[in-house]
Amino acid sequence: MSESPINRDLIPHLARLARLRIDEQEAERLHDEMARILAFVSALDAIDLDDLEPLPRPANVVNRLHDDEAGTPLALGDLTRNAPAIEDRFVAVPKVIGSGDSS
Amino acid sequence: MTSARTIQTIVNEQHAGTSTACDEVERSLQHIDRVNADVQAFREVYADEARQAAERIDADRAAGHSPGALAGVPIAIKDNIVSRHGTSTASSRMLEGYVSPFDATVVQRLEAAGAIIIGRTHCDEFAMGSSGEHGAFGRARNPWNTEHVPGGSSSGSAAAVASGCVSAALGSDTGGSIRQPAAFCGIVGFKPSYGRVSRSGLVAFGSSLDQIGPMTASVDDAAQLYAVIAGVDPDDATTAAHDVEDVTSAATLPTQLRVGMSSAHLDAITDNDVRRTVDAARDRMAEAGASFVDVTLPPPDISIATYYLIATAEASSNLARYDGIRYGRRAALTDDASLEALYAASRSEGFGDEVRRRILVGTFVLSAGYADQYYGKALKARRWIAACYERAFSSCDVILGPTTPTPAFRFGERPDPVEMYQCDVFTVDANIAGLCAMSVPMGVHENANLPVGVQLTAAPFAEPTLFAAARVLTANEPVSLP
Repeated sequence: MSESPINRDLIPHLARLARLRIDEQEAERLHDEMARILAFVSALDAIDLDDLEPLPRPANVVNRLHDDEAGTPLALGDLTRNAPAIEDRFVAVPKVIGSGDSS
Repeated sequence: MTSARTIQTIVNEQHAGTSTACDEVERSLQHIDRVNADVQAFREVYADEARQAAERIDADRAAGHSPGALAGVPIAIKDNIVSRHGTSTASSRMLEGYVSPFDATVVQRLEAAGAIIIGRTHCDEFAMGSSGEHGAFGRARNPWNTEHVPGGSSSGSAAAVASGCVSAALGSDTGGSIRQPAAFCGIVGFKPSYGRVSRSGLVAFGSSLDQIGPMTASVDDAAQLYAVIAGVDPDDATTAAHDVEDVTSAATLPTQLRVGMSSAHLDAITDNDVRRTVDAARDRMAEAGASFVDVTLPPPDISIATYYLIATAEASSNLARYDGIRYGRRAALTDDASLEALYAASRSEGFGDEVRRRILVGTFVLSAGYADQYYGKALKARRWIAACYERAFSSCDVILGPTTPTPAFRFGERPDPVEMYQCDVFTVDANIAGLCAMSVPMGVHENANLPVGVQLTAAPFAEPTLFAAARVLTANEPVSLP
């Protein structure tokens, strides 16, 4: 973690990846905060971790699969009630095909 | 100071016929009416539904049916636990107005045991925060002094119990979000071992860290609530399949409790009153016959770094689901706006500052070219930290230390996010390593006149030992309310 990856393009790049709109003022603030956050996480450089296996979840967790049996699904109306836009039984979204916008 | 009303008292009174579920619900609703304008613990109160549930429970009892273990006990839930009551928002504009089509497993289990969900409490948005200042719809205040924060992220749940509105509430704990507000508000806060309580219906923040747990007025109340909500759940594949250990006072225990303490952690406490509180807890355990060993715990800066890398990575991944399409906030754009533009506009309108910050950090630590260096490294550090605790628990049954470095601070006192992250320095390890841990109140800070908590930590699934140690510390007395 020794070399700082922070540069002027980082925040706008991350904002694009995270699908967030960040204005210039916020980007500047986040730039400084990110630098400080990365500085404090560099504490990990102090310990030798090379020979250790990653531990993505607590060691005691055994992922279980349950039987492949049909359950009772949630009612369609209960699910679509929260959709911001509904047409008939379907969730309405902006035009995706042929819009010519791939940004 | 008055003693809190406990679950045990409520259950006993209704059993003896000196009170009813309806009485209890009215008592709770009236108290909420009196104090909520000041304390702002509740985001929603379900008065009508609670009264109806109480009538059903009283009628059942009158008809001779055996009531559940929590029959007629009003309970508050944190806003990131979904239920069909009201709207479940995780205190985020992103989920404003969201009506859950199902109840979280913990809510189903509480209601099946006769508990009455009386309301939903404010929290930090998506449970990200240590002060309660990041909720979108209100900020709970510390009932001991309303100029001070109640802690976070289970801010409203802590304030609801500490203000006497309810005897118990559910919180969730990703890096200390049950234990830190419990300490700040002078109540009992318990984070179960990872995998003990179903996360089905908990709005996900850090899936390998999150656990739901009780926030209560006594250790026995925490045990009683835990016994109801714990156990395997087909809807959460990470719940442990083996039987839930007995945490009642009848559980079989080692004859002499071996208590681990870390001199390095104790030396890191700069607040003298907090230090004195830990010393007082040590004395009390010594009087009860405990022996003490010095244990080596991970350095605090390693723990905090590891936690923030893992928590932000998991948050950025979990929160990717909020796209403004199937549910949640959708920005009002013109018809010719692209789908991509809609995602970005909706997410930017829906998420608050702290959530955006963590999503960006998490996106960075998972991004191409940096994932190994940051997220990958944190996962190795996680194994290193877990191994530290394994070694520690080979020489002791439970670890005693502070819950927080200081008592509750004032609103606005910690505007700097990096400084705020340090609040969790003593609590994150339990989440990183999947341990069980509890904060119990140990008196009042002399200078600040605010409560101070101490933390007990035990190995995964060593809840019986944890509860036994907590009973020694509190003599199982109900907590004091301001």
